Amino acid sequence: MNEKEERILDLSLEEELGGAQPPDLSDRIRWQLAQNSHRQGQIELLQGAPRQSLAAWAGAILGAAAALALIFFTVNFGAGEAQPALSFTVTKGSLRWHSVETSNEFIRPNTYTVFPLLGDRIEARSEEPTVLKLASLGTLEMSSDCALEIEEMKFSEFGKGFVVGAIVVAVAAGSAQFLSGDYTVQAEDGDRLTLEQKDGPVGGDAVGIAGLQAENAELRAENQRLIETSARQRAEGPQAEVVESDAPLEVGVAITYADFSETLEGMDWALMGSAAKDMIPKLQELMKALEEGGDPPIGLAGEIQQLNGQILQSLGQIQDGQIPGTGINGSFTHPVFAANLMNATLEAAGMSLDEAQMRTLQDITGRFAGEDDSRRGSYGDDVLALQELVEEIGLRNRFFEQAKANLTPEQLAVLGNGPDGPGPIDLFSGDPAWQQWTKPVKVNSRSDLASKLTANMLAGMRFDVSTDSAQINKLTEVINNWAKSAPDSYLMKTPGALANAKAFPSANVSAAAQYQTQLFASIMSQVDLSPDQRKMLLKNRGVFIPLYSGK
Amino acid sequence: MAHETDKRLNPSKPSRASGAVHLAQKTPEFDLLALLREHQAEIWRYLRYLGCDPAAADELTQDTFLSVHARPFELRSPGMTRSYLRKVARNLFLKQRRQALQRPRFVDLDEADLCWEQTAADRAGDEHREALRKCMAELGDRPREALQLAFGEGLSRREVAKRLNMRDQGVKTLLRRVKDRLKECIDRRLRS
Repeated sequence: MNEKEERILDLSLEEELGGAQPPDLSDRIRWQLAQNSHRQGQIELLQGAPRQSLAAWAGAILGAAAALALIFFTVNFGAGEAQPALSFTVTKGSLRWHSVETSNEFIRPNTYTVFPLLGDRIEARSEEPTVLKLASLGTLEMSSDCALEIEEMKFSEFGKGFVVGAIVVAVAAGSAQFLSGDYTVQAEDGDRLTLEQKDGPVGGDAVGIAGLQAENAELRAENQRLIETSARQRAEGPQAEVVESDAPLEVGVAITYADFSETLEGMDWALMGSAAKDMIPKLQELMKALEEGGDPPIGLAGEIQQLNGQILQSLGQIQDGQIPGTGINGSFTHPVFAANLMNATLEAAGMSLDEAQMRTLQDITGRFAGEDDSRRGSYGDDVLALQELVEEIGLRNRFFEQAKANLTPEQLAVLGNGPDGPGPIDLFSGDPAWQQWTKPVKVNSRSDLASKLTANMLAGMRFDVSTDSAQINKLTEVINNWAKSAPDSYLMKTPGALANAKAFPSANVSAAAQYQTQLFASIMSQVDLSPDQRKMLLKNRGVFIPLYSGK
Repeated sequence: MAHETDKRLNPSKPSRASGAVHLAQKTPEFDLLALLREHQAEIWRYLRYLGCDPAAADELTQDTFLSVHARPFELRSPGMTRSYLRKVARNLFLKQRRQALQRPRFVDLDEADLCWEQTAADRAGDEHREALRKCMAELGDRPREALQLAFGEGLSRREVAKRLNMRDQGVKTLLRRVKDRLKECIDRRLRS
C-alpha cells in the first residue's frame, strides 16, 4: 500500500469510526454568494485583501513584487514542490496577471516573480505593445489587445528545485510574438504559443543559471568526495582520528532533544551549513541593494534561491511535525534546529565552536526547547493564535540572543551579525518566523488606518452589512479608538523595496503584533461576535503592518 | 498591489485552444445547487486527502464552488465535471499552501489525483467505504479496538498502546497489518 492509498484508507476510517463526515455546505455557500453580491460596491476592500479569510492577510501580497520575499525562506522553490517561480521584467508597457483569485498589475520597468498556475490569464494593459523578458526563456511581445491563457507548463530542474522551463499559452485575443536566441514565432488569436528557450543563450540570466548549475554540480561532487574521504579516514582507525581535525568535515547533529534525534539525523547538515554560510553574504548584498532603492538583481536572487533550496531540503522531515513551530519558519527557528544549523554554518566556515562554546550552546538550547514545550502546552482554547505567535517568536529571539552571546565576533560575522548588528533580515533570529505573517498596507493617516482595517475585518469576519449594523458600528468604534491611540512607532516608514520584501525590523513587527493583540482582545470583549467570528479572530495570525506615508 | 477582481478577458470569446473542459459563458444548464449536491462531498474528501484539516477543507470546498460559480464551465460528463472541480480545488489548495508557506503532502499532485481517481472517485467513494465497512466486520476484536481508538477516538499511538497494554511498536505493527489486510479485502471486494 503506497502513501496515497494509505491516506485514502485512513480518511475512510476516520469517517467510518470517528464520524468525520463531509459537511453539507450548500447553505453556507449560498449565503456567501448572497453576501458577495450584496457587498459589491458597498465596502471598499483593502488592496490585496483575500476574499475569504482574515487569517490569510499575510498571504495576500505574495503574488506581486513581494514574491521576492519568498526567495529567502519559503518552501515554494527548491523543495520539490511542483509550483516553481517565474521571474520576468516588463521592459515596455504593462500587463495584468489574473490567477485563481487574485489579479495583479505589472508595469515597466520592474522585475517580478510569480507562481504561475494553469488557467492563469495574462492581459496586455497599455496602448503600446507590452514586452516581457522572461528569465531563462526569452522575450514575449504582446499587442495592446493581447490576452493569453496558460495551458501547459514544463518544469526544469535547477539546483534542488525546479524552474519553469516552458509555458504553452493560448492566445485568447490579439497577437503575440516570442523571441528566443535566433528563434522568432508569431501567434494570433486562437493559436497556441510555446515559450521556451531555443538554441543559444537568452541574455545574461541563462548564462548565469547555466554557470550556477555547473558550479552547483562541482560543489556537490566536491562535497561527496570530502564526505567519502572523511568516512574512509574514520574507517582506517585511530591513525585516521589523529588527522581528523585537518580532514574535510562531515557535519552531523551537534545537539538533539527529546524525540528529535531521528529527524535531525536524517538531514544533511554539511550541505545546509555550507548553503547558509554562502547565502548570508548574498542575502545581505541583496537587502542592501533593496535598501538603497535599487531593483533586486535577478542573478543574485537566483543564487540565493538555489542556496535556500539546499537549506530547505530538510523540509520533508520538518513538516512531518517532528520539529514544532508555527508555520515552516516556526520550525526552522526552533532552538534545536537553529542550534544545529548555527553549528553547521560555523563548521562550514572553518570557525567551529570549541568545547566550552558547544557545552554552553547545548545548555541554552535544552533550556529554551524545554521552555518552548511548556509554552505550547500552556495555551487554552481562548488564547489568540497571534498572542501565541508573539510569544513563540519572542522565545526564539531570546534564544538567539543568548546563543549569539556565546560566539566570538568572527563567528558572529559568519552568521551575518557584524559589528553593526544584523542586516535587514537575520537568518539567525526570529525574523524568518515573522515573515510569512506580515501584511504591509500603505496608510496616510490614523483614520485611513482605521478605515482600511475596518473594511478588512468586515470582509474577513463576514459581517452582513444589512443585518449586523449594531456589531459593525461597535467594531468601527473599537478600531477607531485603537487607531487613535496607536503609538507613532507603530506607523512604520520603510522603503518600498524593503516593504515589498517584507523586511521589517523584527522588533517593530513584534511590537505591531503585540499591539494588534490588544485590538483583538478589545473586539472580543466589546463586540457581539458569533462563534464563527470569534473563532476567526482567535485563529488569525496576520500582522497588519501600516506603512505610513503621511508627514 | 493586488486587487480582488474577477475581470474576465473577453468573456464573449473564450479561448479556443483550451482543452475538453474550458471556461465559457454562463450556460442556462449551469446549476450550482445541483453541482453542489452531486459533488461537494467528493471535493471535501479530496481536499482532506490532499492534506487539509476539516476546517480548511470546508473553506476550500466553499471557495471551489464560489470560483466555479464566478467562472462557470460547460457540463459535459460527470467524469469531466468531477475532474474539473478537482482541478479548481487543487489550484486553490496549492495557492493556500503557498500563502501559508507549507509544502503539499504529495509532491506530485498529478499522480495523487490519478490515485484518487482510481481508488476513491466512484460515487464520491461510496463503494470504497461500503467495502471498508464489510471488511471491518471481518476483523477480530483486538484489531477493531485498535482501529476504534486510533481513528474513532483520535488517540496517539502511545495512548492506544497504553489503553491496549501494548508497546508503541506493537501498536504500530498491529495497525500496519490491519490496514494492509483491509486494503487487500477492499480491493478484493471492489474487483468482485
